[in-house]
Amino acid sequence: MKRARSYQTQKWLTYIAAYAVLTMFGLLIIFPFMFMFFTSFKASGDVFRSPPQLLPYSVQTASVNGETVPLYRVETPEGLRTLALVDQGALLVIFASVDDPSRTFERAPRDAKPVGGFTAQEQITVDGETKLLWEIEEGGQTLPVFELSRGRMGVFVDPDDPQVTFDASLTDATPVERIDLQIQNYQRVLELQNIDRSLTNTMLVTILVVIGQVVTSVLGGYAFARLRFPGRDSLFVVYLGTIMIPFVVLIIPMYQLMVIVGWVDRIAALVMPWIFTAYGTFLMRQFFISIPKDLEEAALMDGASRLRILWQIFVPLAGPAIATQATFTFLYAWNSFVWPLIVINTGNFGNQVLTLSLMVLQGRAAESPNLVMAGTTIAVSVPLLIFVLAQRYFVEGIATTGIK
Amino acid sequence: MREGSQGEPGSPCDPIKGKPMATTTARKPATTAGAALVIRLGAAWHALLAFGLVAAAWALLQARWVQRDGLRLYVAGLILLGAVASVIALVLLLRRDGRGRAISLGLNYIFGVGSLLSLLGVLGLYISLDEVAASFNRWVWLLLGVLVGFLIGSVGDRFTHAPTTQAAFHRAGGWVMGASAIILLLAMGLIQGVIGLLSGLGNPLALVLLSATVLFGLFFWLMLRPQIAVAFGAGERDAEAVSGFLFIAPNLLGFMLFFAGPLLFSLYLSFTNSDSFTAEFVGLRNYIEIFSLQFAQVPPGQRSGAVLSSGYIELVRLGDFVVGAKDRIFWIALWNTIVYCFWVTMLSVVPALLVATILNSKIPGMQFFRAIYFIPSIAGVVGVAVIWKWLYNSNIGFLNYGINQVLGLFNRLPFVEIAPVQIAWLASQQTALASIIIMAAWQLLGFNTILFLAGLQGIPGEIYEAATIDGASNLQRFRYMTLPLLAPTTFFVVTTTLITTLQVFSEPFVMTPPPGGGPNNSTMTAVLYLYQRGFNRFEQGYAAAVAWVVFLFIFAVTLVQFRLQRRYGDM
Repeated sequence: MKRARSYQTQKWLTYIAAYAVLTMFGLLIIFPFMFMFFTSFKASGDVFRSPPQLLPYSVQTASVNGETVPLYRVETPEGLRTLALVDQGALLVIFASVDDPSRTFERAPRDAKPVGGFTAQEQITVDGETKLLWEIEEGGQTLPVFELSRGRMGVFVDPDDPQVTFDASLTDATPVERIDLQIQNYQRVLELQNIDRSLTNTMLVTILVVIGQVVTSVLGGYAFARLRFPGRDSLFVVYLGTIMIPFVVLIIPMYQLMVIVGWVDRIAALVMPWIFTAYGTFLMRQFFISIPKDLEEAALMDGASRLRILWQIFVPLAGPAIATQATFTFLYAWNSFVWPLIVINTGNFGNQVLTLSLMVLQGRAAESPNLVMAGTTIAVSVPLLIFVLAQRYFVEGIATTGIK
Repeated sequence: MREGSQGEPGSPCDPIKGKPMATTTARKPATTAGAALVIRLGAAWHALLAFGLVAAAWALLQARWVQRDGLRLYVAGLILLGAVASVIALVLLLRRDGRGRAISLGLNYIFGVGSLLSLLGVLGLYISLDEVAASFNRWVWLLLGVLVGFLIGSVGDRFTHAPTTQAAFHRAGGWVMGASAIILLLAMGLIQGVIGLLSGLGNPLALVLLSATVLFGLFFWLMLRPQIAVAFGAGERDAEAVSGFLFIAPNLLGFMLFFAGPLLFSLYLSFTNSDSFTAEFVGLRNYIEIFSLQFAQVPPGQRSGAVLSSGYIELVRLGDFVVGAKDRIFWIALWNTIVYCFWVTMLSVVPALLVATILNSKIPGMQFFRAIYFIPSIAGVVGVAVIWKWLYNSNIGFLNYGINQVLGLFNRLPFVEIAPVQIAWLASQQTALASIIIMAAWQLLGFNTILFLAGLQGIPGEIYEAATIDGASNLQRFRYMTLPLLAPTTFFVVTTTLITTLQVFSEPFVMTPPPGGGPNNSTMTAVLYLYQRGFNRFEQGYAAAVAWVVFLFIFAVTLVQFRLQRRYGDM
């Protein structure tokens, strides 16, 4: 009895530990995407906040005398109140007395005179820091002081009763903020960079490449799996060998080929070379070889053509395998970067794909991470949507093809 | 060209010997008068073709306006090869040899497809993809119909207990998807496009290509006729071989055109000083430049420049010794690539194995976590790199913030005082490569986890039960059972990670802004270097040589992996 309970406890402890590790790991994986998503909704003033904040905030505003003005929490004689800032006010310097640094004075900058003149202003050392020495008038006598901080004296009003005004230093006032989604960021990023055109280009290229690859590899896979022709097996070995050859070796000759054919900067260059695949043919062959032969033999007896057998018997059976290959190809085509970078190279923005647009956007909006992240969100959202819809094929496909 | 009925056997032919394809060699082939005429016509066609190909090769060799010497020789050689094959086909056809028919079929097919593709090119089909992309942009919202159809179809999956309802949903979904696709194509101007292409046929070149296509197609079709096949004594197996080649042909032609051809061409380019327009053969000069290293001893107090020959730049200095290289950046890039590859593999494989082990303990919600871990692989390198670039920002990035938060926790302990850090990450020579390594490992982690998980799920549970009864601890089971049984998966994961990481390009290209390479070449990788030489400086011959060196390096690493696998595979 006691043993059983300790077993139960142990099981629960294991569960909790496992979930803790998995959740932490999951957060680690998902955090950059949360950052991307929330940053894409931030106002431009909100992105360079230090320390950083994940959620998009913006300053709340109120309407005073027909003008939209920001709201602040201000310390007033009646306590902390929410007030509207109607006037930024004059620049204000807070000086501290050299003799007694705890005594501070608020002055406009022109009311302070440099000791020794502007060109050879004297300096003092306070707490290891060198400070400029100034003189101010206080109670009819001049006082040596140094600058402590700067601020602005703002004029605040009660948003409900604009007659009631308060003066307070802006450094002491904290803006009233709430979570606010700047949806117009997406509009702006579309104006800045033709992300929408890149998005549809990427879709078109991906669709064509996926269809092309599936067709050629189903045909080739069937030939390798079922049809005997001279040199089949050595050709298959060559195909297998080419899977090992990295794309790196082909970059330069393929580019030159595109120059010769006249496809530089053309969508055709993004599609045509990619609809033939040794890897996909290999996957299809592996699948077709596992289909029992009796199925097609009966059809052959009836005089059905090979193409018909393939279309009516093999393709319906190969549904999951084709879906797996399609998802693989989709990911590859959607995210390919090196080849588009090389072949769409003269700034033909109309034919750019998403990866290229993101690269350009990153340079153009270097000072607006919110816009860059809006572009990235657009780029990531479509594959993510397809992943949600066809998750089975992604994960299980990887699982089955990974372990050959 | 309709054949009459199975007429009387024609003049007896020589018995066919040594034909690899024929199975019915015992029977003498029967030839009708029509078949004999077709064969003679085919032979005449091959004579014409051979003549035409020789003329074309000669014209190409004379054409001084084609700048690329190597390519010209290459293509002319291929054309001459075709001419030779055509002559062989001619002779064999006349001798009623089955191989003649095979060669004839092959030649007609290849040239037929070639002229069809050129015809499409002349008509502007490939270029018109740009306009297709533009109108796709306008009408893309019609794709929503396809999505709706897909959703209708997947609703059907819920009715597994009612097959008729399920089938109805699937059919309805299929109809909606098909109809939306057709509407999309019509809206994009499919009909106008086809008319536009056909109107291009007035072009004389198009007419020539069209007639060539028709002629090649005609002779291909003629040779495939049953009567001709019978005349050559071809049987079932030959028919199967022909369909085999026909099925593999689209793939094989693409493979030749976009893989095997460029591969050979790349090897040739690496021996030239090609700048993508002109190329001169320079022999091994590129490779010599890459591999030029010099080892020298530096007397104390002297600068390394004094002992190295001119053209050599100091690469690394070890005490009294100095290593100089002609192409210093290549070696730096290679070293960075190796460092990157090693660390990314370590950081993405080991934790992935641990997480996969936890995921495999059959806890509820496993699918959810598995899906989450897969997301970085979907997002693609460029998107992820753009995101991480901001996470790495030294002032407002979350990475420094997070580190300082953790340091702050430590600072609460007595006697601990750590100043907050502000790491420059990508902007500093010391940390730039490490930053990219961390990001790449993060991205590969989830993917590798899923691979390991699949491997773990393939291990039958009974094995563990036996071990548990024998009193093996968790750790012992992991070490002595899971790891050996998982060896094939581990091998696969490590190999793919190595091959991917050795080709790293996008990460440093995006994160350390173009032309890339990072502070003081600290994130210069081999492929990035290749890109810079090939496409910024247009030294494409040299870049091709770099590519081959990188390729051979990757190949060697893979080979070592295979050896290790064979040796320790069944530990």
